[in-house]
Amino acid sequence: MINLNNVNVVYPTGTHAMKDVSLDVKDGEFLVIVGKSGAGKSTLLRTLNGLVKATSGSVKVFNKEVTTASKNDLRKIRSNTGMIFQTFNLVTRTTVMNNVLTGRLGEMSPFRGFFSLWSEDDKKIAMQALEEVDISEKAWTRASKLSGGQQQRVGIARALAQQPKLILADEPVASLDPVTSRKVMDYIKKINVELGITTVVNLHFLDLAKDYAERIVGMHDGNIVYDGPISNVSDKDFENIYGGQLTEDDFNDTRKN
Amino acid sequence: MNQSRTIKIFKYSIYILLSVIVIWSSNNLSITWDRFINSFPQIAKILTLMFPPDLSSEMLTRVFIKLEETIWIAWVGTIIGIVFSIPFGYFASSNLFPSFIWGPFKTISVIIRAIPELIIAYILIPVTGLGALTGTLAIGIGTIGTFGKWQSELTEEIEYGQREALMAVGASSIVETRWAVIPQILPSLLSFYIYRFEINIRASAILGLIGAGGIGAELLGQFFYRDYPKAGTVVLITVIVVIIIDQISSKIRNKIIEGQ
Amino acid sequence: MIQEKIKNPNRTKNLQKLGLYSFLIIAITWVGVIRIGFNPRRVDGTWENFLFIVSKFFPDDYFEESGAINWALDVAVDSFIETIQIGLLGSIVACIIAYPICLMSSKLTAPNKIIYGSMRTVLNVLRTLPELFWVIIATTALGFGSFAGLISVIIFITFIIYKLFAETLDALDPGPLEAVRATGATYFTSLIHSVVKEVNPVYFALCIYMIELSIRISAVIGLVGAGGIGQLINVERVYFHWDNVSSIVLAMTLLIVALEILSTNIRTRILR
Repeated sequence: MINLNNVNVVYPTGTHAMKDVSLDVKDGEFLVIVGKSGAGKSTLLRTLNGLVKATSGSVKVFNKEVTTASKNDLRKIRSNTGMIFQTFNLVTRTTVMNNVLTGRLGEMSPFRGFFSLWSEDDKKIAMQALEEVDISEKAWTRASKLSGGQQQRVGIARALAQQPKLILADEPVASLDPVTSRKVMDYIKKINVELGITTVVNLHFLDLAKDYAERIVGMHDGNIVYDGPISNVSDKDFENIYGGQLTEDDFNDTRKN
Repeated sequence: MNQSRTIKIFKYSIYILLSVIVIWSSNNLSITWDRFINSFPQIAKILTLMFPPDLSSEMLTRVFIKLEETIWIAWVGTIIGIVFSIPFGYFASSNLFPSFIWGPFKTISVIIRAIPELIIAYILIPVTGLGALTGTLAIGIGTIGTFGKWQSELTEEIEYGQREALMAVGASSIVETRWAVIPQILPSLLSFYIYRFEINIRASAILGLIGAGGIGAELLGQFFYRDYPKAGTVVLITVIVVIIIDQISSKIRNKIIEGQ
Repeated sequence: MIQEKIKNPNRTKNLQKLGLYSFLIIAITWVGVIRIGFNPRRVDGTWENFLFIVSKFFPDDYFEESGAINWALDVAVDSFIETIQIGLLGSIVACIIAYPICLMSSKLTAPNKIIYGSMRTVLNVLRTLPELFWVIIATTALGFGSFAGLISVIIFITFIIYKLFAETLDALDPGPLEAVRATGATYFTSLIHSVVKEVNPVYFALCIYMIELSIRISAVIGLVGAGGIGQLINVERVYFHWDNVSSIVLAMTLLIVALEILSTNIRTRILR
C-alpha cells in the first residue's frame, strides 16, 4: 500500500528532515513510528498525502506516485487517506456533525461542498462514523464545547467518514491526559482491527507504542534506525532510537496531567 | 549608563526638532501667539450662538429628511463595500496566494484606502453629478479599500491547522477556504462591517458639504446664512441620532462576537 | 432509526434565522437604492461621460514640459508644504493640549470629582463632531484660509486623542498611583512619578499616529476653504483644469501612502 524509496525532505529553512528514507507498508498493517521530537516522524507522515513535498525520492501510495501527482490525483489520494492531528484541527465554530461531514468533501463536487449540500448518504456515513467512536449523542453540539478527548474522537470520526483505505495519525494523543490517551488509542486500534484500514501512527510515548503496535519503526534525526515487529523490540533498541538514556518524558503513564 | 545617555540625547533632539517645526510652521502660516489665543474665544462665541437651537417643527422635519438620506447613503455605500471587497480581500491574502497575485490586490486596497472619501466624491461629481448617488459611490469605493485590507489581514492571522485538515481530506482550495478560513474570520469581519457603517454615516454627513447628498449641505447652508440656531438644530439632532445608532450597533456587535 | 438521527434539531431555526436576516438586508438595501435615486436611465450617459472626464484628467501632454505633472512640481509644492505644516503644527499643539485634558477627565487621575464629571460629559459630546464641522465653525469665526484650518485641526485632533487615550487611562492599574500618593506627595508629583512614566510610550506612539492623521485631514479640509492643497484643488477645479486636479490627487495619494508606511514603522519600533 505504501512504498517510500530513498525519500529526502529538505525544508526551505535548510533542515534536512528526512534522509534517504525507505519504507514499505502492507495493506491492513498497524504501524507505529516512534522517535524524539524533530526526528522526522511528522514529515514522513505528511509526505504520504503530499502536505509536504519530498525533495527527492519516490513516495507511492495506493500504487500512485504522490510527488508527481496531478491536482486531481492528489485530491483522490487524500480523499482515501484520513488524517488525525495532534491539535485535533476541528472547525471549532460549527457542530460536530458538520465537522465529520467535512470528511466527505473529498468526494463531493466543489459546488456541493461550498454550499454544504450533503446527500442523505453523506449524512448516514457521518452518523455511522460518530457511532463508531461512541460520540453520536454530541452530533449537534458545537465542537469548541467538547473536551480534548472528545474532540479527538470527532477527528477520528472525520477520518472515518472519508471511508479511507489508509489512516495517518500524527501524535494523536500528545495533548491528552494518560487515561484519555488510552481511550483514544483504543479507538484507533479498534478501527484497524475491525475495519482492516491500514494505519500509521506517530507516537512519542514508549509504553503506548509497546501496547498498541504490531510493527515498530524507529526514527532518529531523519533516519530510520529500527524496523521490526513489536515482539522483537528491547529496551536497548529503544535507547538507540531515542539517542541516549530514556527519561520520564518518554513514557505516557508517568505524566502528571 | 551609556544607554540612558543615548536616550536622553534622543529625547532632547526630538524636542529641538519639534520646536523647529513649530517655529518654522507658524512663521510660514503667519501665526502669532495673539492670533492663536484669541481664536478660541471667537470659536466659543459661535458655539454659544448655536444654542438654544431652533426646534420648530419645520426645521426638525427638514433635518430628519436629510438625515434619513444620509443614513441611506451610508447603508448602500457599506453594502457596496461589502459585496465588492470580498473578492478583493480574498485575493489579497498572502497566505492563500502567491505574491504575484496578492501583491497587486493588496496594493490597490491600500491605495484606495489612502484616498479620503471626500476626494473620491470630489472627483466623481463631474461624472455622476451632485447628489446622493455620488456620495454613495464615493463611500462604496472607499469602503472597498478598507474592507479588502481588513479581510486580508484577518485571513493572514488564522491558524494553519484547520486548513491543513481540510487539505488532508481532499477538498479543493475554494472548499477548503469556505470551511477553514471563513468560519474563523466571520465574527470579526461582521463586527467590522457594522463598525464601518457607523463611520460611514459620519462620512456621508460630511460629503453633503460638497454637495454629494446628505445633511452636510444643510449645515453649510445655515452657516452661510448666519442662521446659527438652525445650524445648532442640525448639529444637535445629528449627534443624537449618531449616538443612538452607535449604541444599537455596539449591542449587535457584542452579540456577534459572543454567539455566532 | 438512523433517519431520525441525522436530522439537525436546530435546522429549522437556523434556516429561519438565515432567511430572515438575508431578506431584511436585501429589502433594506433595495429601499435604500431607490431612496438614493439610482435610476437605470441615469446610468445611460455615464460611461461616455466617465471616459470624457478621464481624458480630461489625463490629457496627452500630462508628462510633458507644459503638462500637469510639471506644473504640480512647480506650483503645487508650496501648497503641499502648507498642508504638511498645518498637519504638523496642528498635531503637535493638539498633543500638548490634550495630555492634561485627558488626565483631568479620567477617573483615576482627575484632581476632583467635579472637574472629572463636567469634562467628561462635555468631551463625550464634542468628540463625536466630525472634523469638517470644526472647519466650518473655524472658517465662519476666523475667515477662510490656513489659519482656520490650523485651529480646526487642533480642536479635532485634541478630541481624537481624548477618545483614543481615555480608554487606556481608565484601564490603568491604580496601584502605583495610590502607592505614591500614600507617601504624601502632591497631586502633580504623584502623577509624574507613577502614571506619566507608564503611559508616555503609548502616548508617544499615539501622537505619531496623530501626525499622520492630521496631515491627511489637512489635505482634505482645504476643499472647503481651509488652506493648503485642498484649496488649490478647489481653485483648479473652478478653472476646469482637470489635469492639474488629477496630478495633485495623485501626489496627495502618494504622500498619504508614504506617510502610512512610515508611521507604521515608527510606531512598531516605539512600542517594542
